[in-house]
This record gives sequence, structure tokens and C-alpha cells, in this order.
Amino acid sequence: MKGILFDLQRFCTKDGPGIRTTVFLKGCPLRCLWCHNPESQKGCIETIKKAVGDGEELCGKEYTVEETLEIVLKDRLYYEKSGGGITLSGGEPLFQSEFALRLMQKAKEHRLHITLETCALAEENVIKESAKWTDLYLFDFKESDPERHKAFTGVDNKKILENLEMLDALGKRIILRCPIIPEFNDRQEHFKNIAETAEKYSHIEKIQIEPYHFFGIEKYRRLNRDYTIGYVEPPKQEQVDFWLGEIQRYTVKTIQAL
Amino acid sequence: MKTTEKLKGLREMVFFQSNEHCFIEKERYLQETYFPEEKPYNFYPLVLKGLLETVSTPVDEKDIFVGRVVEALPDKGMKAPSRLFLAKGHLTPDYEKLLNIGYHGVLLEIKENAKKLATTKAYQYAENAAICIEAIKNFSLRYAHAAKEAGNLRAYKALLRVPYEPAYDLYSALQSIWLVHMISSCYVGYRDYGFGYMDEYLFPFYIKEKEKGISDREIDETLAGFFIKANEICGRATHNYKQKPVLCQASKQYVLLDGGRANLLSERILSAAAINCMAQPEITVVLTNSSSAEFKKTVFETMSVMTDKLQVYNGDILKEFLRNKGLPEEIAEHPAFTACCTADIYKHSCREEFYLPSVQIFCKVLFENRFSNKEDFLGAYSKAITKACEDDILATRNPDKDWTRCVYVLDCLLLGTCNEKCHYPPQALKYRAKNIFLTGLATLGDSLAALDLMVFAGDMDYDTFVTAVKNDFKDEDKLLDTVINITKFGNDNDIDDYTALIAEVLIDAVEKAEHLDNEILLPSFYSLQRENEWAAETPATPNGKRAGTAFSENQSPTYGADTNGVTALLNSLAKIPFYKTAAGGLNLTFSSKIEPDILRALVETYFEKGGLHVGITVLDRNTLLDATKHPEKYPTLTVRLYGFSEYFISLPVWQQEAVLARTAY
Repeated sequence: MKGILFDLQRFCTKDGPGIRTTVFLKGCPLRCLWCHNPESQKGCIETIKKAVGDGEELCGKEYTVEETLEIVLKDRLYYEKSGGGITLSGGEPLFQSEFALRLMQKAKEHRLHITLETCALAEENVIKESAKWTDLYLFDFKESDPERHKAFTGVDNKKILENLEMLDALGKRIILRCPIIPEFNDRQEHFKNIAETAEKYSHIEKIQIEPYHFFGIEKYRRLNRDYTIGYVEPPKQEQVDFWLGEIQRYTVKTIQAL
Repeated sequence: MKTTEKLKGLREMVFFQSNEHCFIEKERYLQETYFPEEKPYNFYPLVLKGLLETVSTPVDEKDIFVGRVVEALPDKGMKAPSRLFLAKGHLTPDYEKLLNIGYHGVLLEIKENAKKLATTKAYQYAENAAICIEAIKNFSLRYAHAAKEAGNLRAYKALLRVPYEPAYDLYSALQSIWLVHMISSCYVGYRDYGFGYMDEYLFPFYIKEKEKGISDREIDETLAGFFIKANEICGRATHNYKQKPVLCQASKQYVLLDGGRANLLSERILSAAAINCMAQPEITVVLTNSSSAEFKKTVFETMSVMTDKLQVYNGDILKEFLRNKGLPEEIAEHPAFTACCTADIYKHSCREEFYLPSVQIFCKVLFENRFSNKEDFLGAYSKAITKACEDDILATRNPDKDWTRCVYVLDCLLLGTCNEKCHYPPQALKYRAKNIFLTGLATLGDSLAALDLMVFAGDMDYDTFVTAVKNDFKDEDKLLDTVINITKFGNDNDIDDYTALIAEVLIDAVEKAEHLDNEILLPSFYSLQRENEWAAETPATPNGKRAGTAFSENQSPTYGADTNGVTALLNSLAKIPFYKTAAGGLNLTFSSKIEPDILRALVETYFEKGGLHVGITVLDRNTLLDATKHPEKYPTLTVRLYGFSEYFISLPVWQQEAVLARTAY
């Protein structure tokens, strides 16, 4: 079985605990306006202008589960020493659910720690199946207001929240990951909701906020796509600290900025 | 004034120092005094005596330890530094002996030996030792009184006794070492005197302090006050660019810690080093499997903070290597390093180094012969390497040179090779550590890969390929592209096997070189800056390196070739037979702070797989770019080069560019 990856990065230290290899799967059901990996959105191999020089190159490459795992296992000793493992990210890793679930199953056969970074817009049975193998969820929580969620990401958040509730009920370890985009979701009400969500579910261990950055802009140009949100000023450290403080007002759980 | 304020002030003074300044009193003395052409056997000791009687004894109110040298711009027409009076440096003195028996005891030993040997040279040596020791004793007494006048009674009390007498507490021990270290580095003059295993020889003094109820915090500050002195003497210039006009410019002063012998003081030294957090001294940790978890934790926490100023070696493979060399257990158990990651025989220091032009020899063998398979080529290359080693061994086997070092008693004032020198004549030197540095490892491995894949295992004709390389790939763009793309050591794939193979060939070729029993051959992969210095004379190589450009540095891949992440790079490197080498260095660059646990997992795994050394730089590319444009904003910014830490803004442009070209993880 083959999956389409747009990157396979060794020595990742921010996608879960310890030293990890992150497998970036192509395809996502969401279209977040601020997405910094626009090349991850389409679930197929596509062309992209070269970063340097003229001409185009392919974005996305097919890998079998075995090929992927072979690379992942090269760093197994580093995982063992650091408490790391494999992370599936995207795009939305469950967009290619068959490949993702198979990869997780195989990784578990090698007793690797598995982190799944997900927006959780997937069918209930897929989420349930993922829970069999996943040790830790990095659960994207983009916007709490349903209408805004639809406006920012193109989809409703109802199913996402149901899946969150299910994972918590299943007793899975969860870290809530919240992108904070100035002028879009840096609202008091949203901060309060993030905190209350974390309080509501006992298996949410902590909250990590991802302050907006525009490192992805260049990739929109290379893909011939418009960066529709235009210029947004990335937050300064003081602003990030303020956000952390605001969220912390409503929860005792740990909050970090990435 | 509180100690913390003193430390802050001393640190600021280092950054206020000018790299244009020389040790003015020394220069005036040497350049204004008449010296006869003919130099009798006691010439240099008498110069030292005159010099130490002449120079002043400045004490700053912030000094925790006294002993500093007056600096100023050279006088008009003065050519500084004078080289009339200099030692060889690059060694780790036997400070343990100094602290335990003092110079008084050292002199007794030397006299005893002279009597035993009963030769003219041995008596002359002893006579010179007496002159030097008397001069140092008088100098320290003068300094004691200067300290008293400045109100530093602790230094006064100490210098009335040390370094002539044994040290009596931690402070007097450090004061004793500092005075000798300063005289060696600044007045005799040369660089790279190491402090060695301080945690071991200072341990008895530390225990006494603890028994007196002195807190660890106080001990840390005292040690930090000592460490900062190492920066005062050498300036912030580099040895390869705009040198400070003193002989100890860019002195890399190594403090060694052995994880297998770590004690409570080891952790205090790490803590003090983090308080100091300056380019000197260079903290070098020899980690072993038997190192305690607590010690390792502290090491990596400190490394995460000090980054480029602390490096780690794999002690287990080093010790095994030295045992395999037939060295006795007490020596094999104590692998030592002086500056630039060169291996030393601790307490038997007679260390030499030879940079072997491995890439140039590779090209010569390739261009001047015709081979039909890889094995024949490697056979011829191996012979050429052995020959180059033997030529160097013969060239440096010079008894006169040894006598020069011994009789003038300048190298670290008897302590440097004390164990050896007491047993003059030099033919009887028990060990001579001969570091053979093999340069351009990744360029060689990738070149062997290109040669094999294109010619021996490929379909290209030998002459056509070699001609294209000789002609610097002129009008051969396609071939150039191909070889560059297929040969990238450092990505954890089969191409690495070529680098591992050529590494093995090189090491074995060095080991085959004929040598005397006391010449301990220590092959290592290390380039210092030869990869650039020799660029002009280095032809194009089969891996697509163009003529006249730098080859790969130390153990690193060609800059930018490693694209699969740091774990892939380490896996590639672990294929090199480091267990047959003694030194050298791998410098990793990270673009943001690396947490201690991650660092520890990386290094420990790498070492378990057979890695030898790790040094790190943590830098943000934008900061570095800004530093190239606005150097005045970045006086304290350091990066790791080769085997040490350097101030980025002091580097020449080519080296700043090389730092920027590295893969940053």
C-alpha cells in the first residue's frame, strides 16, 4: 500500500516528546486561511515552482508503508534514549486514512511511540481505529465559534468536537494545539473557550498555542495561489505572553507557546 | 564589593580590552635590553629572571586572583611580539605536582636526577631550573606585597608561599596555578597551555573547603574568578586573522573532566564554567559508560547553556584505543587533550602534530597513475600516505629540538614535561604523542564514491574521467552535476560506506608507518583550517569539488550536503572507525536552543554507535547575518570552530561564510 507524503523529517523535536521522525501526509479536508503548508492541502502529487531558480518540481512522493518505516526505524535508538518516536502529521494524516492507520499499526509492531497531529475531521470509525495505535494526540483546536470556524477553515467544527469528546472518553492522552492568528481568533471569548475545553476533558494534558507566522507565504506564490488573508503582523513575545496569561485565567492546566 | 559584582566587572574588562595591545613591559624589556649574539646555556633563564624583576605587578580592585599583565599599544617602531623569548606551548602542565610539592620540591627532584645522571647537560638543566624558580619565587613575593597594598589579603597570604611551596587550600592552589600559567603564557610566551583534570587534582582542597563549611555557591564563584583570568591573557582575536600582538593570542586553554572519575568538584567546575560562560577555558568532558547519571545530566544541562564552549568526547573508545596502543593502564585511563582537540599523554607531555595533506595525495595518486579497480587504487594511496607519515616522523625526530625545550626550561617552567625532563637526555623520553591529522575526510570519501561509481563500477573510461577532473570539469557540466548528486556523505545511506572505507585505509596507512617504540602514533580526522589554507593548492576532486576551493572540514560532510537531519548525519559518522583514532572533532550546528534531554539522547546514542566527539553551535542565521553587517552589536557572540570556541566578529570573511554555509539543524 502506498501513501503520498510531502515530507519525511528526521530529528523533529517539536512534534511530540523526545526525538521524532515526522511523516507528513498530503491532503487535508480543511482550508485554513492561514495555513502555512498549502502544499499539504491537496491529496495528490502536484507541481510547484522551484524555491530557487526557474522551472517546476513535483511536490509529494509515493511511499509504501515499509519504505516509510524503514527510514523511521533508522533512528530507533535516538527515540529510545529520548522518549521519542514517530509522528504522523500533514495535511491531515487521516485524510489518507488507510495508509496512516496501516503505518501506525506497523510502527506499533516495532513498539514505537506514536503521536498523531490531527485536525480530527474524520469518520468516527477512523478516529476509533487511530486510537488503537496512538499514544498521544496533538489535537488542533482552531476556533471555538462554529460560524467563524466555517469561515476560517471551510468546515463546521461539530464533528471535530464530537471526536474530541470520544477520544477523551477513550482515555487517550491529548495536547490541545491552538493556532492564534491576530485579527482572526485572538478573542477573549475564544481564549476562554480554549481553557474551558481543556478543563472539560480530563485527558487533555496541556495546551500549546501556535502564534501566527508567515513562513508559508512564499509557498503560495510557488503554487500560484493567493494568500487570501493578506498581511498579518506576526505577534511579538509580549503579545504571546499576554495570550498565555489570558488563557491561563480560566484553567489550571499547563499552557505553552510553540 | 560582592563577588558577583567583581565577576561582572572582570568580564566587562575583557570586552574592553583592545586586540591591538601588546604586553608592553615585556616588549620594552626584550627590545630595549642588549643581548649578545652568542647564547650561553643559561641565556634564557637569565632573560626570564631579568624580565620578572622588571615588570610591574598590577592588581585591580575587582581581582579575585591576582596576576595581570600591563597592556598598551606597541611603541612607535616596535615590532610586537618579540620572538626572542618563547616556548612551544601546547601542553598540559603537571599542576598536580606543583600544588603538592611546590617549585621547591620540583627543584629538589631535578637536582636529584642531575646527580644520578651526572652529565654536563643534566647539571646545566638543574642550574637553569634553579635560576627560573628563584625568579618566580621573587616575582610572587613582589606580587604578594602588591596584593596587600590593594587590600587583597587572601592573595597576599597565598603568594607569600605559593607557587614555591605547596598549596594549602583551594584558593592558594588556584592562585599558584594562575601565577605560573600567566608567566608561561604571557612572559615566557606561547599559547595553548591546558589546565588538565582540575576536578581531580583540586579535589583534596575542595574537600577541605567543605569541611570548613564553605558553600558550593562560594566555591563556584571562586572557580569562576579563576576561569575568567584565562580570557584576560589571550584577547578576543583569532589566530588566523588580525592577531593580537602577543604570543598567547587565541590561547585555547582546556579544562578536562573525566566522567569515569567524576567527583563532587566536577559539578562545581561545570557550574563555575556556566557562570563564566566565556570562550576560555574550553571545557572538555570525557564521557564514559561508567559516568553517573547525575554527572551526565549536569554535563548536558551545562552544554545546553554554554553551547560552543563545552565539548564531549567518547571516553570509552578513547581509553580502549590507548590500551590497544600498548600504553599502561594509568595512562590509557587518562586520555588528555590540549588545544585544537589534539591528544596528549597526560603528565608525559611531548606532543607533536602533523597535518597530512590527504586530499592532495589522493589527487596525485589518481592523476599520475592508471588503475583498473578500486582495490589497486586504494593500495597505492595507502602506500603514499604511509610514506608521507614516515617523512614527517623523520623530520621531527630531532634531538636538538628536544634539548632546546629542556635546557631552556621555558616550557611551562619545568612542569610541562617534568616527568620526562627530569630524565634527560631526551632520547629517553618515554612517550612522544604524534598526532597525525588526516584532512578532508568527506571530500575523500565522496571522491572515492565518484571514482568507483563512474569508472570502476561504471562505464566511464579512467582517462576520460581523470582528465575531466584534472581540467576542473571544464565543459563537463553534466558530469559535474552527476558526481555532485551521487556523492553526499552524511545522509545515512550506502554512499557513506565509501567514507568509512577510505577512513579505514587512511588510519591503517598511518599505523604502518615505521616509528620508534616511544613514538605513539595517534591518527585522527581533523583539519583545523587546512581545508581553506590549502585550498589554492588543491586540485579539483572527483566528487565535484572545484580546483582552488576548500575541501571538507574536520569530520563534517561537505557543507550543505547533509539534508536528512542530524540523526542521519550522526548515523553516517558512526560508520567511521573512530575506535582507531584519538582526537579530532565534529561540530554540529543547531538553529535554536537544544534542550538538555535531547542533546543527551543525541550524544549518548551517537557514542553508543561508535561516535567520538561532539561540539555544538547554537545560532540563529539571521543573528549571524546581522553580525556580519553590524559587528559592533555582537562583541560576545561565539561559534564553535574545529576544536574550540571563537568570537564570530573576529573571524575572517571566508570563515564567517563557512559558518553560514553549514547545515543548521
